[in-house]
Amino acid sequence: MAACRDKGLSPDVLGALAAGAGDDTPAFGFARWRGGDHEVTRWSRDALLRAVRRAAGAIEAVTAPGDRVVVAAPPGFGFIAAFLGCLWSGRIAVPAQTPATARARAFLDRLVAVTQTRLVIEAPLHDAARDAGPHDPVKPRRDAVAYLQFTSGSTQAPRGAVITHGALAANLAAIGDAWDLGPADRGVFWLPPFHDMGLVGALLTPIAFGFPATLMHPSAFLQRPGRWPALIAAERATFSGAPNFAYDLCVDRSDAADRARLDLSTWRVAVNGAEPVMAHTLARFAEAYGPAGFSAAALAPGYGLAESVLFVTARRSGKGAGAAREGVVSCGVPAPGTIVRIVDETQGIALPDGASGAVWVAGPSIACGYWNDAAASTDAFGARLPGEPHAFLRTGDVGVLHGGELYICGRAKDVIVRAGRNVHAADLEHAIACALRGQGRTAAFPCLEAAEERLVIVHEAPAGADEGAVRAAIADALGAGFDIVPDVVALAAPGAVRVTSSGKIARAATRDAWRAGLLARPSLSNAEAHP
Amino acid sequence: MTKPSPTESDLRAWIRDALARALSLPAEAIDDEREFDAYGLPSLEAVMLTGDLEDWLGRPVDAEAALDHASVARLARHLAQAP
Repeated sequence: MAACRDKGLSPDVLGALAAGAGDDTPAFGFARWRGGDHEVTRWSRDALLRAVRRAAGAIEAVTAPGDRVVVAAPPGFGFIAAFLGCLWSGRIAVPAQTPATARARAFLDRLVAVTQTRLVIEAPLHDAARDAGPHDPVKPRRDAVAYLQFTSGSTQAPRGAVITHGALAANLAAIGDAWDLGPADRGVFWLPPFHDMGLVGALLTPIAFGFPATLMHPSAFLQRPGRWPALIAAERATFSGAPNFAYDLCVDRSDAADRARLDLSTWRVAVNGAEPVMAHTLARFAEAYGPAGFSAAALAPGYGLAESVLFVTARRSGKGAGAAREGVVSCGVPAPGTIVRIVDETQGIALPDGASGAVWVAGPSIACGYWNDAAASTDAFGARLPGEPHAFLRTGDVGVLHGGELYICGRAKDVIVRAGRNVHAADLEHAIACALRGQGRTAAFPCLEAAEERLVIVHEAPAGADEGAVRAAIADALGAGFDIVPDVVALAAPGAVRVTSSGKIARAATRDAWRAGLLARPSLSNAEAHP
Repeated sequence: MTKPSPTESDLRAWIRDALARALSLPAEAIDDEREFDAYGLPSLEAVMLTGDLEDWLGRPVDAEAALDHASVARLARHLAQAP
C-alpha cells in the first residue's frame, strides 16, 4: 500500500464535533409520539460534544486503542454518544441492533465472537460516566479503522465491512457534493442507526456539514408511517431519505386529508436508496404528497452499499428522478473519483454503455475488506479488469450504465434484499432442505413483478405430499432462521427446479421458467403443474 | 370512552389473529409464547401491527411495545397492565 501522506480528513467528523464547544444551537433532536402528538427533545452541539467526551472516557477506562466496541444502544442520543465516543478515543465501533429477542441476542453474540469484542454497550453510558473524558479526539490516520459495518443478512457468517477514516471522509464529501449540503439544511430521519444509511446519512452527514437533524425511532415510523412526512413538515426539514418501501408505506398508510394539511415545500432532497428504486413508487409518492407542497424535483434516487460506506451514485439535488427503464429509475452518476463499471463476470471484461451486467465499483470510499475474512475479502474486493490499475469491489448487483447514469436491475442471483437486509438465496434453500429433510429441491430467488421485487420460493413437492404441511414447514424454516415471509411459495412437480450440470441450483433458469408460467403458480395444485 | 377495556385474553386473541393474518397461517398454528421473530415476522411488521392495535383499543400504544414484548402472551400482558 502506498504510504499515506496525511493531509487531514475532509470533512472531519471529529473536528466538526470539537468545533461545537460552547455552541448552544441544536445538533440533534429526538421526537417521541403519544398517539397523535409528538414532542422533540433537543441536544445542543455543546451538549453533544460533552456527551461524546464522557462516553469516550468510559470506553477508554475498559478498553485499549484499536479494540472493537459493539454499540447496541437503542436509537437515540445514547447510541450517538457511544458511537462517536469510540471514534473520539480511537476504538473501532461495531454498530448493532439492541437485542430484544433470543434470536437477536444470538446474532449479537456472533458479532461479538467474530470481532473479538470485549465491550458491548447496550444502554446509554454518557450520563453515568464519572469524569468529563478526554478533551481532544485522537488524530486518526486515513487508513485507521473507524468502524465495522455489518450487514444483517446471512445468519451463517456475519461479514463486517472495514471502514477507514479516509473512506468515511471521502464518502461524506461525495454525499455533501451530490446534494449541496451545508449549515442551512435540516434533516429528519427514522432510519435505524446500526445500518449504513442511518449511521452515515442520518448521523454523520449532519455533523460533518454542520446542520441539525431530528430523529425518530424506526418503530415510531413503522407504527404510523405518516409521522415521517409530518415530522419533516413540522421541522421544516430540507434533507431526508429512506429505502423505497418507506415511500410506499407513507402512501398506503396515510389518508389524503392528513397529507394535504402538511407543508412539505421545504423538503428539497428526498433520498431513495438501499433497495431497488421503483419508478411507480416515486410517481405515486409525488402525486400523493403533491397537495402538501412536495416537489417531484426533490426525488433523489441513489445507489450505494455498506462496502462503499454508503454512497456510490445519486441523482443530484433538484434534478428529480430521470426517465425509467423497465420500471427502474436512474440512480444517477458516480461520485467524483468513483469509477463504476458494468462487467461480464464470466469473461472478466467491462461491457459497453447500455449492456446489463455485474456492477463493479472502485474509488476512495471503498472499504478495505471484510473483518477477519481474507477469502471473502479477496472475492469481493479484489476484482480486476484488464488495463485498469486498481482493484474493484464486486457489489453483487446487476445494472446498466446508460449515458453515464446507473440503473440497478436487481441483485445478483444469490442475494435477496428484504427491507434493506441482504439475504443469501443459498441460505434460504439450505434451511428449507433441512426442515423438509431433503425431500424435493428448492430454489429461492428475487423476481421483479409489476415493478415490485418479490421473493419467490419454488419447491418440488411429490404427488400426494401434504401441501399444507410443506407450506407450514417452509414458512417456519424461513421465519425461524431469517425473519422472512416469502411473497410466493410455488409448489411444483419434481423436476421444476433447474440444476446445473454440476448439480447446483440454477436460480436464473428456474426463475425464467417460473416467469414463463412453466411451473405451478401458487393457485394451482401440484398435479396441474407442468413438469 | 364507552368501550369496555379488553381483557388480557381478548388482547391475546386480537394479536394472535393479526399475527396469523400477517403470516398467512391459521390462528391455531400460533404459539402465544413464541417470539415474533421466530415466526419470521420481520420486526417491522410486528411494529406495524401496533398501529392497528391503537385503532382497536382507542388509546396510544408505545411504538416499541412489540419489540420489547415480542410474543403474543407478553405483548397482551404488557397492554393489559398498561394504564
